[in-house]
Amino acid sequence: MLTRLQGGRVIDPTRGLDGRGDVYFDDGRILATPSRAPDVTIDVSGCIVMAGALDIHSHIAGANVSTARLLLPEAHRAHMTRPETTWLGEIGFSAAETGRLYAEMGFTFVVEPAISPQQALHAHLELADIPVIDKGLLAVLGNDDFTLGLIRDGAGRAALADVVGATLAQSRALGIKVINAGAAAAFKYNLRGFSLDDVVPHYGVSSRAILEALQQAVLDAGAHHPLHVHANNLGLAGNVETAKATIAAARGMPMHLAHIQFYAYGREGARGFSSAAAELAEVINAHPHVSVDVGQVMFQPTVTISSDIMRQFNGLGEARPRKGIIQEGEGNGGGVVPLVYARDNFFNALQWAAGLELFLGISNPAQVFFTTDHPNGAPFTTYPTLMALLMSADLRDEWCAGLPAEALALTHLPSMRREYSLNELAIMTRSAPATLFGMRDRGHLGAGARADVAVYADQNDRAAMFAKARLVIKNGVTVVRDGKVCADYFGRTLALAARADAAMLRRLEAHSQTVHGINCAGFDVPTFAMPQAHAFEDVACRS
Amino acid sequence: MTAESGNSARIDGQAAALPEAMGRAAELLASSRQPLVTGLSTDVAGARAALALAAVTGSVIDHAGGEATMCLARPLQDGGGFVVTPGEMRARADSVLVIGPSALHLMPGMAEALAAAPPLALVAGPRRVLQINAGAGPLAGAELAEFPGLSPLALVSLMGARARGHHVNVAATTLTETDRVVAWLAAAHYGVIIFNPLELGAPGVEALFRLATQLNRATRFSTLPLVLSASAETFKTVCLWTTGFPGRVNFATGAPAYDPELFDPKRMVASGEADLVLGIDSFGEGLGVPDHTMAQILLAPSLSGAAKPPDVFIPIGEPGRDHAGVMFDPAIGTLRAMPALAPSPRPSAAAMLETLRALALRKGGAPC
Repeated sequence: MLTRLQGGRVIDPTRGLDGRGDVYFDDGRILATPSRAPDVTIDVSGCIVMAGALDIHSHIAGANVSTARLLLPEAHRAHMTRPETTWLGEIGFSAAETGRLYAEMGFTFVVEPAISPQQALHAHLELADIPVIDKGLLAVLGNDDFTLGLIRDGAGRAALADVVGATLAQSRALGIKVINAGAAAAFKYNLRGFSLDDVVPHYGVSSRAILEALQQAVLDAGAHHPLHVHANNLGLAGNVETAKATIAAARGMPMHLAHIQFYAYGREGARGFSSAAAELAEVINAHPHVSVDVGQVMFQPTVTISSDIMRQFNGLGEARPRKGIIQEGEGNGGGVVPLVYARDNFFNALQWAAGLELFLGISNPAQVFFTTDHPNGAPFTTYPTLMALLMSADLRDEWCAGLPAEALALTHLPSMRREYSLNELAIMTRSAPATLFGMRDRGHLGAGARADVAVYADQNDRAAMFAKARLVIKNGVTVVRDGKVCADYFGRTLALAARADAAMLRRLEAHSQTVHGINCAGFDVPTFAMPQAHAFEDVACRS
Repeated sequence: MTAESGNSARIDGQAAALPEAMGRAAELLASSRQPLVTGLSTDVAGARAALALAAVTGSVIDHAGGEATMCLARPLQDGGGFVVTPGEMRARADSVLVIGPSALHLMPGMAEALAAAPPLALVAGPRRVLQINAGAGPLAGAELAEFPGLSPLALVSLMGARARGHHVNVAATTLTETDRVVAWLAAAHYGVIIFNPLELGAPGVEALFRLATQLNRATRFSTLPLVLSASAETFKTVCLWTTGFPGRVNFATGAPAYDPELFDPKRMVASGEADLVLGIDSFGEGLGVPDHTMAQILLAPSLSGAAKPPDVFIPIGEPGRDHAGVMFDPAIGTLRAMPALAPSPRPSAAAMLETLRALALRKGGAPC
């Protein structure tokens, strides 16, 4: 059925469009202006029309997310009946609520960024139960014995590429993430801190060596998304040096640094903790081959879910409420620690400001991605408020007025007057993430694109505008109307059609049997295991 | 399958066509004031479908083995803890403490795995294994320690107190033996404590996690809780992503509400708060509820295991045998896909539950 969205302000950075126009789609695809009359016309005058939004880093599924649910029944108890009084109630914390809430904000694709290859089936079953949106996941390597052993033994570039290819294929992943490379393994040998040039006991391999090997292997394996890096020393004072060293370690090749806000800290001030975000933004501006997402902190209680198990262990003392789960596994494992980010807390206020400084200090909106590292910096439901903050210096001033002056004095935020335009926001949440993942038919509204469209009523209150899309189209189906999901629709999980080398699969199997006593075919994600016949959609590798 | 095969659908003990039996089950569900969905020895698909049915019928739902699940979940919810996968324990643990007699017997292949040296240990050499209160189940080659007369909770608490350097008032022999065990633990590079959550009980498990927290101050430690029922762990996993809770959920208000005491199936039946039991039992694990006289619907491969003839019996297949499925596999510590080993036309629990849900929706069975 040929449908026309008529008269909206169409913002499509991929085609350099920002102006009044019509968008046509039929059979799930966007069309150029057709020769025949549309079957249906929907009047969207007074509305902003964009492609569906993409979130490249949000912990929405898998064993660690489930552990967080398990840890905190009080946070989401009776979440539908008393949403105002329940701590994580607004995110529901179930697969069904995750899909609904993302869709209502106009998001149509979300990447779960940290899945242990051993637990890929669990994650995929959970993703399959998330309605409306399309999904993808990143598989985690770099703390597992097999990969560390190959690097130690100097197995070479081809072998590492084969491990990455086999992992992508077996886990049905879109990319590879490395999380505090080597630290989870080092923690098992009782190291409590780990920097870029520290060496994993037993293997004699440095974090830098793991990073470099995997960065190259991901490129060689044909993944679109470069190695997704969670660097060392997350959250520690002075760790901007780690971030800068990690960017330098990229050696001019593509690399994505996750939740960079948590690495934007200096050591100035009476407490030895200051924002180094401006300095870090300049470094990022000077390294266009590196992309980052922010991991913005917002003020509210949340729960941190991370496979940086050393960091999570070290953070147990900061847990509010005072509890956490440290779950170790064949590679990274995962740690779950609840936290409260409070407005009147010096450190939290500084973190909040540092995140905004990065958004505002990084010049190219295609290089900085919009995340809160859900739920680690804040739940994804805070996105609309964060968008409003990026778009209004006055709103930031209002917020700053309620924050500890001591913290703000150690940042540049109050003097930063940049305001994001809707076009820049569309670059950051639409066109750039699609490019980052090599998806040519997403993130824009040009002919041939998937008919994933978000329509917002143009309001001065940008937070209200982005919180509830007026209309969301997914694959040509109207899934949200007036801010409410209105269709029983399930998207798919995108998986890279990576090549699994048969000899490497045999080596992985032998290793798993010998070292862990496990038949690693048990980690397969066969299509028959999925609740929907078409749960997956293959994405071709980079040619 | 014929009505005479003994595996046909039944209403009040009499063979019946499947559509009639399903219709009767839907009627019972519609007329129930508080249905209880339990048993739940089934696969991921069965658990999903059971939760979806519970949601539209306003049921209380929990696995028959929910008590063991709660013995682990509640201490984690109260204070957190440390756990490790079996595969990583085999690879890295140079020291393994086994508590109680049952732990290893319930975990196939674990005794053999413990006898092998850990390939990734910091210091190469054989694995040290110490078993406490082995009773009738001592592990070959393990060091043993006995604490007669001490409850598991008292024993673990005592170990924790000594690990923290506290003075305790116990018999001299008990103190000596406790200190020997604590010194043994402290000498580990990467230690794992294997335990049975049901044997320790929730307070004992909480004390064990506190002990692990203390040991982690100086060295590395984690714990490996026994999985007593693969289907219970399967249900817990699905229930977490579906409702946010590990089980013991009530949908009566339309939203999932969690209460580990109130929504205990045994209590719901014993108190008469439930008036209908819908049991799913693909693996003959039982329904875990006391004898009762209330209405019962049973989905199982055969009737042979049923204590009380149900009002409605719906025959189903077994996941991994009659049809493919996904189950938690204790050996790998996560979900595993299982192809059908002997494919048969027997329907899956999921298919039958989905049909029941459709019938319940048609009868306006949504909660008030």
